[in-house]
Parts: sequence; C-alpha cells; structure tokens
Amino acid sequence: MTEQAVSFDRRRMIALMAGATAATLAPRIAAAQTMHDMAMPAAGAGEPSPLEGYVFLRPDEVRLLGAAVDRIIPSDDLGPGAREAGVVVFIDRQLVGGYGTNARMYTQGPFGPATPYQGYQLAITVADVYRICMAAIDQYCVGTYKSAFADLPPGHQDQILAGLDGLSKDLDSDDVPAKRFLAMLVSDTRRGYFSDPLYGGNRGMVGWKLVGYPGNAVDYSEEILKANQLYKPPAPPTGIIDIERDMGMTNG
Amino acid sequence: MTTRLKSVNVVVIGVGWAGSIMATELTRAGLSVVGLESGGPRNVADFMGPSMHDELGNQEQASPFADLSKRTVTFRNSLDETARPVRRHGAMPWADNVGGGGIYWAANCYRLTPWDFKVRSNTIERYGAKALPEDCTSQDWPMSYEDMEPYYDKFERMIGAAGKAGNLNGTIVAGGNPFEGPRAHEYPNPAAPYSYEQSMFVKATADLGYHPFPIPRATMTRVYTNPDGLTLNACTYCGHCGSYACEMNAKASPQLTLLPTALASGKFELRPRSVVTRINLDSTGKQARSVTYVDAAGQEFEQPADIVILSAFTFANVRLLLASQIGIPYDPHTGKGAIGRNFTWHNHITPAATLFFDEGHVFNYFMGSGGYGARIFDFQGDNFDHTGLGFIGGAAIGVVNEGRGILEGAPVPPGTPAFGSAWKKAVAHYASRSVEMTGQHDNQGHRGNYLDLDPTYRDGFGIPMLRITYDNKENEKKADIYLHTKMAEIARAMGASSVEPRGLPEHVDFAYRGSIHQSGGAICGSSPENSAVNGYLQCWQTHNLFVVGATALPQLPSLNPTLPVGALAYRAAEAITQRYVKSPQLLA
Repeated sequence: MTEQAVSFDRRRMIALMAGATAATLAPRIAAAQTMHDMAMPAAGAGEPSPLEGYVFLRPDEVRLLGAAVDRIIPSDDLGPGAREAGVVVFIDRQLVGGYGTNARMYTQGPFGPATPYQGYQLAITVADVYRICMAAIDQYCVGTYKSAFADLPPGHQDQILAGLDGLSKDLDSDDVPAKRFLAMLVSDTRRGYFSDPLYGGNRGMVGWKLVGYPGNAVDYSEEILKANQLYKPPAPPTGIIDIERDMGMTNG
Repeated sequence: MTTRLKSVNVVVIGVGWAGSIMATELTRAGLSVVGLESGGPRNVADFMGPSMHDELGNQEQASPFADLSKRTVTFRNSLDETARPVRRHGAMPWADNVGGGGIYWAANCYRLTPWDFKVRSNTIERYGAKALPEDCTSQDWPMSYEDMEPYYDKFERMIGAAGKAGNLNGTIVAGGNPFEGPRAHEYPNPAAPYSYEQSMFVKATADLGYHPFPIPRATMTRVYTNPDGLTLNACTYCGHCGSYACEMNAKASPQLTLLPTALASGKFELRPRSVVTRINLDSTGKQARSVTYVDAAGQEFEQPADIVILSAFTFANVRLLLASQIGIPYDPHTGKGAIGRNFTWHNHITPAATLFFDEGHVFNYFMGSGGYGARIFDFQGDNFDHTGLGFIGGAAIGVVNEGRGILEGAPVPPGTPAFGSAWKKAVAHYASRSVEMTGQHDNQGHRGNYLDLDPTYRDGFGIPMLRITYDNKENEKKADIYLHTKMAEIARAMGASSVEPRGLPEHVDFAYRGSIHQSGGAICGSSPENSAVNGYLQCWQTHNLFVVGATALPQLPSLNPTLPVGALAYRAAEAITQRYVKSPQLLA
C-alpha cells in the first residue's frame, strides 16, 4: 500500500488561523488510512464551558488550595491568576484521574528506603499525598497560628509555600517530605494554568495569553523563517475543543 | 499449555526501527518473517486526533508511552545501593508499540565520525594509555566508518534525511560539518534555511572560528518519496515533535517508511500484543530453535524459526538474553562477561544552557521541528586537543528549534523567585526572549555502569526485571565543566543578557526528564572475549541469533543513536540474506 503525497493549501491554513470563517481542510491521506479529514480549527470559534464542581476535594481543601494557588500564580496587572483560571478544579480532576490514582505507575512492592535519585517510591497514591499534606498543613497552621492556611496573611502563606517556615520540619516524614509536596503543588499549579482548558484549568486561555502561546495551530512553515518578529497568535488561541467542534465531535 | 506454531524462516522480536528494517529487508529477499511486538498496533490514523498537540497528555503524563503498571526496570546509581523500580516515567519514557520510539522520536540523524569507531586505540595513539580514565571500558568497533558508509546512505535515503554534506568523497564542503566522515552522496533532502536564533548561533560560532552546520533530520523539508515508493509530506514546524506522533506524516517512522513494504510482500506477519518471555535454545545450547511468547489473552505460544532477530529496545534485548541464559552475564567485580556491559546513556541533556535576551530580540518558541537546528562538532569526540584536560570525549553543541513546551511556564533568569507576581512577570517577558543551547555528552563505557537482572523485583510472568546501575563518572563531569566554558563563550558572542547553565549533576536523578538514548549491554566487537556480538550483530555463542539495536554500540557518542542503529540493521540484514542463509555459520 503506497500513500499519495498530500498537497494542502498552506495559505488557507494560515488564513484560518488568522480568523477567517471555518472551512474544512483536507490533507488527504489514502482513504484506508484515515477515519476523518484532519481539519484546521477555526480560530476563535470558542472555548469549552468552564468546568465546575469538585469530585474529590473537600470544602477545607478547596479553601486551602485556592489560597495556595493564588500565591503561586497571583492575579495582577498581567491578568487573572491560577485561582481564577480554575486551577483548583484542574487539580481536583487530576487527583481522581490517572495522575492521582497512579494508574500507569508500577505500584507493586516491595517498597523500601530509596535515594533521592530513584524517583517516586511512595506506597501511596498522589491523591493520598495531597490529602495527607493538606490536612497536615492546616493542622500545623491552626496549631501554630490559630488560623487555617487560607486565613493567614499572604506574606506568611508565601513563607510556608517556600518551605521556609517551621512547617517543613513539622510536615517532614518518611512518607511525604514537605519539600516534595510543595514542589509537586507548584508544578501542578503551573500545569493547571498552562494546559488545555479541557482539563479544567487555563480558563479563558489566560495562561496561554500570558505567554503568547497560539494553541493547536499547525503550520508555521513561512512564519518560522521570519527574523526577530513576534508571531501574533489568534485571539483567543485554539484549543482541543476547537478541533473537536470542527470535526463535528462535540455532541456525539 | 503452550501451543507450538508452524516454523518460519525468521522471527523478529520487537518491531521498532531495527525490527522493521529487518522485516522489510528479509521479506524482500523472500524469507518468511513473523514480527512479535509486545505493544499494541499504531497506524497512521492513530497519529491524528484532536489531542495531537496536547502537551499535558503526551509529554507530562507520557500517555503514548509504556504502561509501567505491567512491567518496568529497576534503577540505582551504584553497586552498594538497592535498586528500586522506575515507578513513573520521568527521565526516560520508553515506547511499547508497533514502531517503537520511531513514531515519537525527535528525528535527529547523525552519523558517527571515523574517530568514534576507534575511541580506545585513537586515544592511546594520540595521548598515551594513561589518558584513558581508569574505569573506562570504551573500546573500538570491529568495523570502520568506511565499512558503515553505504548502510548509513541507505537508511538516510529510506527516511528522507535532510541536511548538508560536509565531506563529499573526501572534499570538504562549506556549510556542512567538516568533521564528518566522507559521504558518497549528498543528503536525500536539502537542509531548511536557518531560523533567527539558529542564524545568531551560526554567526557567533563562525566568528569564533568554529564550524556550524544544519543538523541532519528526518522531518521532511519537502514532499519526499523513498526508494520503496512511500511518500512523506513536508514538515510544517508545528512545534510538537519529540514525544508526539506527527499528524502531518512528515516525520519518518517505521509506519511511513518501512512497514507498508514489509506487509505488501505477503511474507510478513505482524503480531502485536505478543510478549516474548524466552528465546529457547536447542539441546546443544548453540542454536536458537524457537521463541516463547504470550498473547493478549494470556495464551502461551512457541514460535519456531531458523533465525531469531532480537530487536527490541535496549532494556528488553539485554533482559531477554539474560533470562534465556544466552551469553555470559557481565560481572562488574571481575570485568568478565559481555551481556550487560558498557551500558551508556545521555541521561541529562547536558551541557545545556538557557540564554536570556532582555531586549532587542524575540523568538517564537512554540514553532519548530524535530532536529531543526544548527550544531558544531568542534568540541565533540577528539576534534580538539585534550592534552592536559583530564578527560576524553566532549559534546556536539547547538541551538535547536523543536518547539518548547509551556507546562512549566517558561525559563526565567537565575534569581527569579519560584512563584508569585515576580515569577509571572519574568515568564511573560522571557517566554519569547529565551533560547536553549544544548549538547549531549560523549558517554564512555564505565566499569560500574551496567545492566543485569534484578534480584528482587519480577514481572507478572515471574521473570526478573532488568536492573540498571548507572551514574555520572569523573570523565564526563570534567568534560562538562570544560564544555560549559565554551557554551558561555558562544552565548556571550550571541549577545545574551544572561545565561543559566544546566550542568551534569553529581548523581543521575531518575525522575529528571532526560533522553531515551540508552545503549550498550550487548556490544559488538572483534572477539567473544570483548563483546556479545560480532560486527553483523550475530551472537558469538548462538550464531542464528542476531541482536539488532542500540545494544550493539560499544559506547555512545554525542549523537542520537537511531541512525547508527539503522545502518547496523541494514548491514546485518544484507549479511543474513547474502551469506548466512546460504551457509549458516559465524559471519565474522
């Protein structure tokens, strides 16, 4: 079975990305190879409805994480921060998904002492880690400062997140070193801020707008040879939902 | 209850690049071939889909890659530690599917230089025996660059490699890599023009007296039809290449360049989801007679064959040899045994640095293609005088536009807080004002870096998992310090406002996202005393068994392993079809 060369119209693709009306491009591979034409999304056709509600997190956890992610990526003159971007909802969905349940991890024993260079060796899931650490953080804050983390002054919250507070020593255990959890939280906050909105974060594409990321565009053959010129992304950027709408997928 | 199947000429274990080349060439010669692949099928239609550029799924959660819940490898830095399982993909997500990593690779395709084939004897000749680090087990290949040249040429043609020759039949050509070995032909596809940041690198390095050239890549620079009539499209620089399948059909993969030919021959039967558990030897112990595997329903089969090709990934190859008791396992205390010895890896992509440009320059970081970049070999191998430096080898250094991910935001200059408004401001400013400069160390063989079977952890079939013992050694650490001074010099010449270097760490951290260039463990050599296989990748003790893959590399130069692996496979396939089938015996 040989495949035919595809010639597709790059000018049409670039026009699409610049906001022209939607049209289906068809780089046609031999019919046996594809189930559908690959379509370029119409730029700016829309964003997914914001994901709401929590499957895993409890009210006190939602409060704690809301406050924490708000310090990690705050709202400011550059635009909305992680809380507004839905990062707590993102984390919630991640914790019930494969990431939180260690679905594709090797979870068989034996478990035992490991060096810092042997990666994740906990006998518990990422969701367990979050639950344990969130409880421990609030327990520490209430015990030490008579306030939950969410009710502390922002400067103090920053100290705790930076691992500079006594929390680190208090929280540290063989199970979950505090520094590891704090690093995980910062990393997951960024993922929630910069991943596709379908995952629950990056509402309004605020993360992508911050860094000028165009989303799922495809053809930069001419653009990439331009010297010292910032590419102007479509407004808003194109997400997975745009491709799916163009493929007629959204309502099944 | 094991079902014994009808015998075939050849059974191929692992259908990635190496296995696909073997299947295509052996069926072309009229042999009947069964391909057993532990992973699932992947067809061209699978390369497309709404999530094709989803960084969270593809990169961070490694969803295209092996499901570690079923089986994994164990890891430790040194012999006095207990190895623990690699429980989550981090440093090196490996594939488990038809086509292997050949779907998800970044398509860099360099040839080894002539010097790389004789690391040991060249070093001794130029610097004396004392220049070799005490624990260094690097050794010469049993063949030369010239022996390999026609097979490099063949593979480059099959995958549509794009580049600019630097040495055509002995004549050095401006604009190419003057350190490469002589090529008979120009690349099948032309190099693309340099991007803005690549041009800055090219000018800076040329001004410093170095020799920049376009990185050879198998992401098509134009529509290309390979010698078997299979056509690929031109790359569109979408910026989602390494770790992603290419929905444009512009990145060479076994699916696009080889498998249709093998399947069209009518002599190739591909069985995905078939996990090989053992290579069975005959009663003399000198011939492989069959292969045992388990299918997706858990049924066990025995597939007899005249010839066995073991062409799975590095870990699976070595593990199966050890589990089947083929060859002599390496003992790091005595130095005896070849199976597991000389395991090498580009564990961290270093030397590396992020260059920040406060103002005056902007870069579109999200555009790019696999291997689209510029590099210099002036500090690779022995291309510079190592007298008095205290290390051997070096690294090829370059600037590549592959498309930079954004899940961590963007690089920020040293001293930027890790979170808060200051971090956010730096990310917004430097996302488009930063450039990555990278290299990969020439990784020598070292006595303490090896593979064996884990004493504790077994998979669901009761077979011990492969254990990796590996760490960074003094030789590469010293090289790293030296190479960073050169990187800093180039960065200054490019006009960077600040530079954040990423050096080789004291210890290899398994969770760090590095590369999947793991090599060695069944290296080729001139005799059974110094190697597992000969130059045709034929097992010394079991001459109808060929171990085809990066396992054959005696040590790993600063170059992505795929092109040498493909060239080795073509050479082995030719030896099998033209000599072995007529007269089965050791070929070298």
